[in-house]
Amino acid sequence: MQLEQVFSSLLGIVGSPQLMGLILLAVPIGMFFGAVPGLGGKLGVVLLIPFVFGMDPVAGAVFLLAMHAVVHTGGSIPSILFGVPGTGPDAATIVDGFPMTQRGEAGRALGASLGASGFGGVIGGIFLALMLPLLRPVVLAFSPAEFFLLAIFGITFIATLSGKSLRKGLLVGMFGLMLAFVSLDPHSGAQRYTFDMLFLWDGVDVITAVLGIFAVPEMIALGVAGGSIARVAGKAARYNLREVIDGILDVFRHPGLSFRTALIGAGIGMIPGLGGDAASWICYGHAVQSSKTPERFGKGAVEGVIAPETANNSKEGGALLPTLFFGVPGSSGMAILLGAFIMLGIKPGPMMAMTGLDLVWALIWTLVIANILAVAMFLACAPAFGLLTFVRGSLIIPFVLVLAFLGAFLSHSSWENIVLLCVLGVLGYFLKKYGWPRPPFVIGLVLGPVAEDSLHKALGIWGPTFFLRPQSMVMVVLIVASLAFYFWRRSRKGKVEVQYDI
Amino acid sequence: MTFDGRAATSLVMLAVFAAMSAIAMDYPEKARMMPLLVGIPGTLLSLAQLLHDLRQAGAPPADAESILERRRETGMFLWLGLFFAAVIGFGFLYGAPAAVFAFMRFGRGESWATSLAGGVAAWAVLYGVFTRLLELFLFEGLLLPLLTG
Repeated sequence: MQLEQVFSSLLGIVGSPQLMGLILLAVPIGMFFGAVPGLGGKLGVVLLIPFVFGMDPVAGAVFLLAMHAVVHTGGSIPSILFGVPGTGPDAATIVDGFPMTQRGEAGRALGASLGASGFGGVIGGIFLALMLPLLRPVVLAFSPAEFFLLAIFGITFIATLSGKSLRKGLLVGMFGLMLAFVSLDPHSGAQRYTFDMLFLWDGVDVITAVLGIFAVPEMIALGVAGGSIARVAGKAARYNLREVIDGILDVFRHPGLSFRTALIGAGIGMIPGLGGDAASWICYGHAVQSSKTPERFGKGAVEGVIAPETANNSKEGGALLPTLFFGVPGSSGMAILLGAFIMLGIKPGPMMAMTGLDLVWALIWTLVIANILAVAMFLACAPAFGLLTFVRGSLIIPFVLVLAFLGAFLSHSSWENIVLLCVLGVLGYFLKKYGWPRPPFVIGLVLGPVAEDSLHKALGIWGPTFFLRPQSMVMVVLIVASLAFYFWRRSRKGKVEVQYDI
Repeated sequence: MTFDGRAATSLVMLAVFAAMSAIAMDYPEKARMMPLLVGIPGTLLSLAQLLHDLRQAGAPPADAESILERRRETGMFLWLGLFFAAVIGFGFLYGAPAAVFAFMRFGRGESWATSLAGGVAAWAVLYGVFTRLLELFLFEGLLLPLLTG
């Protein structure tokens, strides 16, 4: 690791008014999207994509990542104040955060959440930085065979975690793969599924597909629900700044727990398909198990706020690892970010380890700076959080739809993408309604070209027995293990469902 | 056997996989390899899913809540269609704000003032941020250029 490269990236961000301005703009936006239940950080990234068209790749990536990194910081606000999770992973914070509010410790709970989020986010960035020298030789040792199998593993693993049905998860992932094959075939030049439509020659646009499968169904569902994102009863609790600061200090009164859960979160973030709920609930469980007084949990134990919140933010650093270096999204949020990075002209994959380290360091510092700034902004805006009760979901629907349409058009300056957006939007709504998980779709769509290209290369080099290579066998074992783990978990506990926040 | 929305979704997935696999048969060997490698198992899996859904217990009889939900669903699809028609016909600068106004006033029952403010805000963001600040070309619609010559 070259120190000069490390700190020059930091100076490059801090010394650039444009980049610091973008981070300063992105942080409150991210916190807003996290704080308003029903929106969520993924929707925030998706809707900000039109705004980064034409931006410098580094600036665009910094802007989107800074927004994404602090979503869960904002998501804890309604969890603690109103007992309504801002995002899915913030549900774990309610268990002890809301009881703290109910007994008059809202400020302390908010402060603990804030401090834990900032601490976790910084640790996540440091974790990514420390893993870089270890990861580089691993990435460079991957051949096309391993990349093909890694793509299959990414889809399989997230499918096993998606909802109650492995079959549905696999089908949605395979649907994403099939859509990825819509284009001019790079190997033979044949038109595949383009039906003589020029706008499909470059393939189904990832941004359009993501907007169609995620943003549009959410707005349809919101409208069907009657337009109210969260029914909040009662007034927001009162608290003062001193209580919030006391809560921040609670993080440092429990250094061991804070550090452990931040590391666990970062480690879980590295595994494609996990993250989100898994990180927050596993760390909450760890906090209970490691406590000398576990009976306090569920009734307002501050450790019950610290643990999930550190993990929520630290996992983003871990999730960047497979996203940037293997092109395999570490989470569904990273899948959307990956699509945005590709749109900006950034090529995640093994080349990042060789020629893209400047960008990687810029993103690491973005994670750190964004999380620190979020603490400051949170403190400044803390008294206004009660106003969130006035945000009506029904007012958001038309604006989100317009931004979704805009994003679909701008991605390729093609109005036909708007047609595709609406078709996928209707399909996505029914997938959501009938319990078909949607994260595998994005991963299939993004990994499809990688998988196909790698397969052709692997077959060209080693023939059909490429998967018998020792390195490939490791990936095959991982794929089989993920399926076996799914069936084992089902046989033990019945149908266990992981809820994604999309 | 019950054919409901759940089964219909599975049927759509089956149709997509089956159709894409059938179309892929006509492609050159290298071009059809991956689509068939994914499409054929996908067809079989979606058939299994369809059979599973058909065998599920029948849906409970429609009550007031489910009828209301269905009505709202239809309403939202119609609004989505309206947004689509407005933007495709009249572009982002005019069609989108009009759709926002119409949705807020007639879809959600907001006051005239709030709805008008929403429409104006949409136009302001589209024009001020995207057209002027970011200098991006926004789609002008298929009908509007014809009407304005």
